[in-house]
Amino acid sequence: MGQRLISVTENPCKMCFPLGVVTAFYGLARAMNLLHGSQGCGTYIRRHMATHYNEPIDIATSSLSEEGAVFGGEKNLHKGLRNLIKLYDPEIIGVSTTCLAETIGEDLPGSLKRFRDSNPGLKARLIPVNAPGYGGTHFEGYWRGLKAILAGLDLDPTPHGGVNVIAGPISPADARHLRDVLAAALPGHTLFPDISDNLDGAFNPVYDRLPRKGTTVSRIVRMAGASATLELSLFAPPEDSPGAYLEKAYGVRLLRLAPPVGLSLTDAFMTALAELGGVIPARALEERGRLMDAMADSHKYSALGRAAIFGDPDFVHSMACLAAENGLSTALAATGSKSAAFRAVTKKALGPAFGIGQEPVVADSADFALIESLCRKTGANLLVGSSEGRRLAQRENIPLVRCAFPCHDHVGGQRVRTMGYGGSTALLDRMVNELISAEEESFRGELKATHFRPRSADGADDGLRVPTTGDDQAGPSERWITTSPTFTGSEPDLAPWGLPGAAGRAAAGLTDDHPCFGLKAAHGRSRLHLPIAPGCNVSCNYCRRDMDCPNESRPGASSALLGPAEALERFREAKRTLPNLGVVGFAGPGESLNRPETLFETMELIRREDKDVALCLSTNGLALPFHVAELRRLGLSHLTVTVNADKPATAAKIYAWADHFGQRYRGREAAELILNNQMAGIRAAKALGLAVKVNTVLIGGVNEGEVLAIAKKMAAAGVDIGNVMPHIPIAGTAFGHLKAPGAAKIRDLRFACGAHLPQMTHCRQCRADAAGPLGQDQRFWAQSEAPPPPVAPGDGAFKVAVISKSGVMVDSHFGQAERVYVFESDGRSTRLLEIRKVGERSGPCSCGRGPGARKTDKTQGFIERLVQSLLDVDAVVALRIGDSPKTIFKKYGIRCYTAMDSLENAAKAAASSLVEANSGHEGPDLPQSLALA
Amino acid sequence: MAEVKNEILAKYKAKVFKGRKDHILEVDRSKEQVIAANARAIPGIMTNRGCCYAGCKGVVLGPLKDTLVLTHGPIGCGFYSWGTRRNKARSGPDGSNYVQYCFSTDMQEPDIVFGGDKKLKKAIEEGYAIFKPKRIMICSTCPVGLIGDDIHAVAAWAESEFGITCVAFSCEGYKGVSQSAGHHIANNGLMKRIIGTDDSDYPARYKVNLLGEYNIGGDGWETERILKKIGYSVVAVFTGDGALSDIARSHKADLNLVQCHRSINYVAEMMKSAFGTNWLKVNFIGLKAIAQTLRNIAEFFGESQVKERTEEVLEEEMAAISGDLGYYRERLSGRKAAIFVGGSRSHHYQDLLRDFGVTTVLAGYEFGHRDDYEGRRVIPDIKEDADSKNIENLVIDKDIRYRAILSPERAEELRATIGLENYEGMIKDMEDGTYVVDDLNHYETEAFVKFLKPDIFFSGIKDKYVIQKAGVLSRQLHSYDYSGPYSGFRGSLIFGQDLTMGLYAPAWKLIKAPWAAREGGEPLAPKGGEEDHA
Repeated sequence: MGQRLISVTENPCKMCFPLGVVTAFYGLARAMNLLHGSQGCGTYIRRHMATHYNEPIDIATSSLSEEGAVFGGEKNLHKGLRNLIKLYDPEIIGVSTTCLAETIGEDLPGSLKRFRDSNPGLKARLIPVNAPGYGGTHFEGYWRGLKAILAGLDLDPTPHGGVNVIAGPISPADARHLRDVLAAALPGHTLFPDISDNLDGAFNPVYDRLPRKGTTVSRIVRMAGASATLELSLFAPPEDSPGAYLEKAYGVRLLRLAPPVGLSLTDAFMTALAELGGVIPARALEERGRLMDAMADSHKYSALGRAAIFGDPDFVHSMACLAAENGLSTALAATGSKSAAFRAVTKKALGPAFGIGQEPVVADSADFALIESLCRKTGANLLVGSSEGRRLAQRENIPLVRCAFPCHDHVGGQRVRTMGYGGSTALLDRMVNELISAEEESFRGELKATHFRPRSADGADDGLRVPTTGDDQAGPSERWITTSPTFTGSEPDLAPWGLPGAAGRAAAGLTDDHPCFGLKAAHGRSRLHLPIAPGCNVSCNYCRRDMDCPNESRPGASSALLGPAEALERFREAKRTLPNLGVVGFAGPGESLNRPETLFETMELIRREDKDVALCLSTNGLALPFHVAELRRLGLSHLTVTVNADKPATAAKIYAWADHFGQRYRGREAAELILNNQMAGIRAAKALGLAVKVNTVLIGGVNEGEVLAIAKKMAAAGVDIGNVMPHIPIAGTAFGHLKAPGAAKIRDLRFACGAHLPQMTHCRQCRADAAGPLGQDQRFWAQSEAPPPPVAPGDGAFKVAVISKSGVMVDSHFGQAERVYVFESDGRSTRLLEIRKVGERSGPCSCGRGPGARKTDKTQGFIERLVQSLLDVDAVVALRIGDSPKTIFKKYGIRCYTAMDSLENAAKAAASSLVEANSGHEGPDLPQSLALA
Repeated sequence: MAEVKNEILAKYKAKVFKGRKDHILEVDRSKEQVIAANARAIPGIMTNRGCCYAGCKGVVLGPLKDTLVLTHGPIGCGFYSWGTRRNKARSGPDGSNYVQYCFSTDMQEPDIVFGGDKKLKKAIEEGYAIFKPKRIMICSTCPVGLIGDDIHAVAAWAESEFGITCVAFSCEGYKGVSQSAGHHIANNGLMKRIIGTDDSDYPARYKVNLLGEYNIGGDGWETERILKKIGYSVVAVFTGDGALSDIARSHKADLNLVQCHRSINYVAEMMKSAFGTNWLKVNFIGLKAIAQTLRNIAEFFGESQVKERTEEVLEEEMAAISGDLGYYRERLSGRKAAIFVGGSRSHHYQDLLRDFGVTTVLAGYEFGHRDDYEGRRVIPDIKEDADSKNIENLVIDKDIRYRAILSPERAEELRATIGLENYEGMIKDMEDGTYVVDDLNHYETEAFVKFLKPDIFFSGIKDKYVIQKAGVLSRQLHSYDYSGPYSGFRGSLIFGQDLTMGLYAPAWKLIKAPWAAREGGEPLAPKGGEEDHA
């Protein structure tokens, strides 16, 4: 979705105000927090911070209940303060409101005053902070907390010449770095706050529940007398900036700098320290040199980067500066905070993007839904931010450098360094290494697309061989095809069996061999559709998924699925039966390229059997660009792509979703993906010399207006023929209520389109298992509605039980039988007597051979029942059969065979073996496909 | 040992002392012991409890995969309850899976001042436009109830506007005394609006629902695997990897299996009243517990083939893990554990620990009620306080689809033999001299670790680091420290492995720097390590 949503936040990129306040107080010595509100606020924030910092986080609450919400919470607040003081004895307590306290209108300063009055000996300083959860993000909360500390203490304005350094919400490791740099460079400074030890303590068996490190109250009190304040934030809200407060109330000069991340910003920080009277240690120059070295080392990789940076405003801005000075483009800089200043300043800092020819996007008030869609739009290939980007990283397959709060799924969030020359070096290395990894791990997919050769017949590996599925296909460069792949140089290698006749002719632009492509062939040549494709990667709104794909086939029909071996068997049978079989098509029942392995295997089998038959394929085109080269190599000559829309908005109405590389896309995204990939696939197919037909399902009231545009676009892409098909509404589909377009409408449109693209006017919208010339379908296989008339076997015929799931091949272990086909055969002619259904069973195959075979009483019972039901036959044929059924059959004189053949052949072979055995001539000469079990 | 309790309480002010003393007891099974529970947390003492919203949205509704759960409130609550409980879920048959998402109305100051229902409506419109969900659940946070947003009216509007199911839950954080109130509110909503709304046929035998299984780390999947292996059909899971479309027909089940008693016993009881569905307290954590549970379920159905199949599966599953089990037991036997979590787990995990020879010296619930400690028989004696009264107790009438599958005599018999519709609580399973502490707080955790010296402390992230830095192994039983599943036969081994790797981690031996001067004596390191030769 590209549109900016106003009211629903989908996957937030910010946390709540009080979390920021609490973090600020964690940088003070002997400080505790108390949230005035529901105890859930304390629990949630503790949970959240503890997971990041891996430190105990103690946040007290006033545990307001419904009574407190109605009658006021002061009693609870006072009780909470008393208990907190008794148990922890803190020197300073941040008392913050929450959504609840703010909404019921608690008078916090008044309440604290009353507490002080009734506890005269009170040593702890109480700092009230207005912290409604709806007052901004944790970032703004942090600054509100710091300012409240200054405003809530009696500061001492006596000048002392020291410098205040105010740190934003940074990692403890960065805070420690600042502390060390300042200790060396700027004596007499005050670092405020300093979370380095309180939120990243050492292993210490003696747990000190009161955080004792951090900035002390006595130092904070002296901040009003400093000579200057260096505030390391550009985006602290002016009204809550502690530096601005000190300047306004005590006249302390304020200097604002971005957090020192990267070379330029660290240079600026060091320069500022020097200007403020600091002495820059010589070590800093060495560290700067090392960072320069790192930048030079990595520049060639940095330039590959298009970073999406998200998080707090200062973090994002500084990271973008670091990226920019390394030639690493920032595609997207986004913050969850609302900040016009962030947008303006960051935009300026970025300038034009480096190398991607488009303006970087800067967004505030962003959620992850927006960030994700912008990542796609801008082609980001590196995520920089908190662990909350991990879902996006997984979905989009973009590496994520976790270097911001919160880090929930990795360890070490508290130890992340980003600041100073050293921290920047470590961070730059991490970012660049992610880019290198992404590059190195995706190149195989690209190599495969251009250099892959299948294994040759003798099994020798004559080419690069990589897995056909796996993550390497989903590398960033392939993930989102928006332009057609280019095929330069010579034609891709064909399969070892050479250029088949039909394919060769198609390559020369001839389409007459195919009944759907050439009018001449339409009535003369037969075609056979092989239903081998299960499932689909696209959901069309006119489709019912339990039936055949309506893009090519007649809607409402459903065809049984075949495996490659069964498909070959059906091809052989069709060749025997059908006159003039010229074309074998793959058109369903689902999407052929959804599971391309099955398709490839079938094509290979058929091509080995028959070099001349034309192979054609129908597809929705989503996966086409990734497989078209392979299809061509396997001898595909004709291709049909169903293109139903010109504009994404229309396509979005037609397709509910699309599954692509493990990710489900919806709406406009799905629409754009489908249309782009279709075009890329079609162009590639034409570049490879395939004959291409484009089907368009005319859906009344949905895409009528675009049919002509589609035809023009396709003609421009070199498509050979178009086919406008009427939408046939099917009940139970989203378009089930629409009216089918009339014949006149179809005729008119075909005529109009014909001016640009030749039209197929003889479409019959076949079934996915159609066979024969167009309009004269025949079916001839076992489950057909009208089986061929059986030939009665002669006397002495045997009854043979054959185990099969598909009804085409002997394809089942005995113990996995679902159906038993009982034939009568004398070894010459064979007839199907009956099909016996076998009851449901559970558990693994128990024939003793199947995967996970295991004997239990229950499966044993199933086998026994099955055996009992077959005691009337003379022989049993199965793919495999275990010892226990065999023993029983043997007892009854029933022979068991194993076979891998068509049902009829297997039955015939078994009968013939029985004839031999009965005549006493049994020898080793069983048919090749049959074995005595 | 009574001095442990006294010494810990001594630190408190008189009023806190009075408030806390009844929440701590030393087990003495010769007596009928009473514990104070489900009382308001005392302000300022760092309770580990969450809020009503956490119980409703975070626990019960969060794991549902086929519904868009929209938090109505400022951003924090939605963010903090986003994916943090590790409820795993596979996409449903329609491809929807909302578990990875977080939706919030992100209320701002003007929404608080002028009312947030307009924004809520708009958010639903937008959410519907993007995701086309069939179901939307609205959960409110603290300010919503106070500013008077009528989320129930908005839900009704959404239903008629989009033709979807939309249910609103008034689970403002301040309601009740802990997340427990939120469980109850969620249970009520499911009962009123979802359960029993799909009457299509469910042709299967031995149909059960799994209640109070949230599929943390995949627990529910292992449990379902076992149930299905025996031959049970799981109609609906409340709510781990669960779907409201399944819950809509959960009244078709013959038996409700209650894993987490605290969070879901309301549904079990209400379904009993409305549909006659019997319920049984089960435990799939711990091997002896699972065996007992499976035998109880088989006994409920009473058929010999179910019983035989149960024994078969038990034998097979135990045979498959016995080798590893022995290895881990040898390594873990004799250790001491403390457990402080939730409203059920502190009991469940004692069974599993016992399988490994580990004694539980301290156990407590964060938000349990007295019946979770003492058994359901005390329910009539529990005094309803102001906080509990605020949570609606639904009056459930018999539905016309009520069907009792047991004769009254058989039901009575099963009550006695397998504890049908009963839960006897945690205390009766604990040893004399061990401690039970309700709503343990930060300070008490520290103090008990010091006094009882457990080898392992099972708790949550909030107290994990207090314990770990004291040199005591700490494992989170809310999120399993990114491990799991711990349920079922296979989960037991993962649990054993996690404990073993934790106790025998080489790091514990390296705490002291050899060159550093001794100060303050030896650190508290867990026993173990030295004898590890594996």
